[in-house]
Amino acid sequence: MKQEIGALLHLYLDEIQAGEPTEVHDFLIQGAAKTINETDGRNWIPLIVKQTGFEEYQVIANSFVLAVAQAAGLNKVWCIVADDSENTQRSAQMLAQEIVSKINLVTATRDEIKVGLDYLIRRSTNPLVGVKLAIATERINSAARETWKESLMDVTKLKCGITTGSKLNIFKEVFYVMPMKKVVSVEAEKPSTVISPSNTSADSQKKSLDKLTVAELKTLAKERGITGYTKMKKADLLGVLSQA
Amino acid sequence: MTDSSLKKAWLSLSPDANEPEIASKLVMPEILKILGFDQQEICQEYFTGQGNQKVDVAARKNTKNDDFSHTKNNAALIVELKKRKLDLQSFNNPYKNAVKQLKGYLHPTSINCRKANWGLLTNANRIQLFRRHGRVVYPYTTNIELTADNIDEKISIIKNFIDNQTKALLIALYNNKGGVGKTTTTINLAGILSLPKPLGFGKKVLIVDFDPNQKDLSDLLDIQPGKLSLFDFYKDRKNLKINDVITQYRFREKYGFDVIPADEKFLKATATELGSIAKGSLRQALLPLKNLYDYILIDSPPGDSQFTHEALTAADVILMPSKHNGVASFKNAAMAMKTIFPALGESRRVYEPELADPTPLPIFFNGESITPAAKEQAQNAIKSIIQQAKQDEKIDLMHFFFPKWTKEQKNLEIFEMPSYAHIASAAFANRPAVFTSKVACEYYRNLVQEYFI
Repeated sequence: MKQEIGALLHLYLDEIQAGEPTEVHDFLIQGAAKTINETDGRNWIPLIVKQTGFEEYQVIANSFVLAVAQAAGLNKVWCIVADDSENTQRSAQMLAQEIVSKINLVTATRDEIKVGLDYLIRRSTNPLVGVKLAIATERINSAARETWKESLMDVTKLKCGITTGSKLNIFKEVFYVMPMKKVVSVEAEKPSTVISPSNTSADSQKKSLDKLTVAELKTLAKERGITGYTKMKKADLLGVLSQA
Repeated sequence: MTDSSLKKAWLSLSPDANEPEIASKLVMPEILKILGFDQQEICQEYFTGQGNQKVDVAARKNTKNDDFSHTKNNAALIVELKKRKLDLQSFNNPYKNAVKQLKGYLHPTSINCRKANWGLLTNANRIQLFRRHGRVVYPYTTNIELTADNIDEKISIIKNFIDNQTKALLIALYNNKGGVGKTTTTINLAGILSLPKPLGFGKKVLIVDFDPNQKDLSDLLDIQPGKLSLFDFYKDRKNLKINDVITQYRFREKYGFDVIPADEKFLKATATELGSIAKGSLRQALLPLKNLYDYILIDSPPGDSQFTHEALTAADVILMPSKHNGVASFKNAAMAMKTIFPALGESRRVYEPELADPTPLPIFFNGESITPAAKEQAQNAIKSIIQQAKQDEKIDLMHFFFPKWTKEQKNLEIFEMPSYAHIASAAFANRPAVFTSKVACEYYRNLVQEYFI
């Protein structure tokens, strides 16, 4: 039977499939498990699940609670049944502080960049050290972010303290760019539209194609159905792609 | 992935295939084979036992000395075929006529089909499974539209239903209005069904009193709660036994039926506690009991509450005792049929695909003396309700209100349970009237023979 969305149900643990495993330290899990046993086996913070089958559910957020319920040896755990949309899952995970929001560098405003950097610099776990907020914000904001690659290596070239390695990884926890395949047009306002070569002039297209690596150009060629691309050099690839 | 031979057979049918082609290419070699019948267990042009009437295909498992294809008797499953080009969409006349035909084959007068529990109606484009329990023939699946892509899945669903058949018929006693005699009907039905023959029908019956608010049934029979209350059973249904919730009601230590008594704990529960009961819990709880009883009667509260929904969700069919003196009760019945039952059916189908909506049985007037003038007034009110439902919502309520109606014989007869003082007053004696009154016995026997056996 389909359960009501929003229902607060006391579900059997063996009907619930874990989602992403929690990364929380065992100390915290064991501590919470002890308190559950002190409160009559009731988890006052519910698990958020979606119904996937007749008597089957899957965790979509707050997996910490599932780990605690298991550690406490509970038979059943209190859950809220949510709908199965991606938005709901993302929102619930954010409310459970399991994920943070992400900023798309291609469309981000200066303020967004600033606040994201500030979060990374000032947070207590694994912060971004040696980065000056004002300088980094300024340099990132002025850069041609729409041409940046997924790897975000471009930010290291700005020399604002975000170096390759662990600092870049921290930077990537919040910041990202849409994959280059979808962003060939130079227009900064529509970065996520699919390639439509007929939109852009041959020249500007050639300029942005130039910035791609050979591997990326070959992928583009494959997508466009161009044959014989494997043996082509960069110049050849640029030639066929700007014609298409 | 190669196509199954079922799919290939379906694809090989001509677009205007007629019944013999559908029988020989699709039904007999493929569908019935999947359902577990081999060629010696299938008959064509099977005599139903009513005059010269024949049904297209019938099947039954063979026993050691009994080869169905030779003995041609006691079919377990019958199949009515129609031409492929016939429009078998629900609510259209060809469909209604075909269903009527199928129900005719499963009528008690079709002696040779008395043991048939299942009827299939198909024209290769559509297929529907009907279940028969005594006199009740009701749709078990929705009217399924078959395609090349879904045929394997749909036939497997049908096979699953047939393989998992159980003994019991689950009947919810329901009416939006209170005071129509649901509880009286429930206990007397249970009484007469369980009384040994020739007074009764010698059946095993369970009553579920699912009206915690009124608890009439449990109070009336002075039922003591079982070892375990239903509310507590719900707390840990996987590890507790539903049998511990069942109490026996016995009259003079001889005959009687079993009861799951109403549980006051539902009344005392908070809204949150009630909200935390998973939907379909009653349906699940009754599952293991479906092979222990012939009939499970669920007395549900009036109105449109969570308890009502749980009772209806658990049921196969719905019996609606009514009063004749008020349009409101007919309108309520029509409303339930148009919205409540289909909505619950949809909910059930999410995880039990193609399961039909709970089917309402024709209403009956309960415990009244009705003057001819009043009867005509009621019939007219009902006729306009039927008309309106047909026009506005394209729903056919005709056979719910006037089950004997045909175009040729516009029969407006509605079954009536006569008013009889003893039936009501038996309530004060803590027993169903059928256990102490011969007249009550007769009346309820009549009801059973009209609807169930």
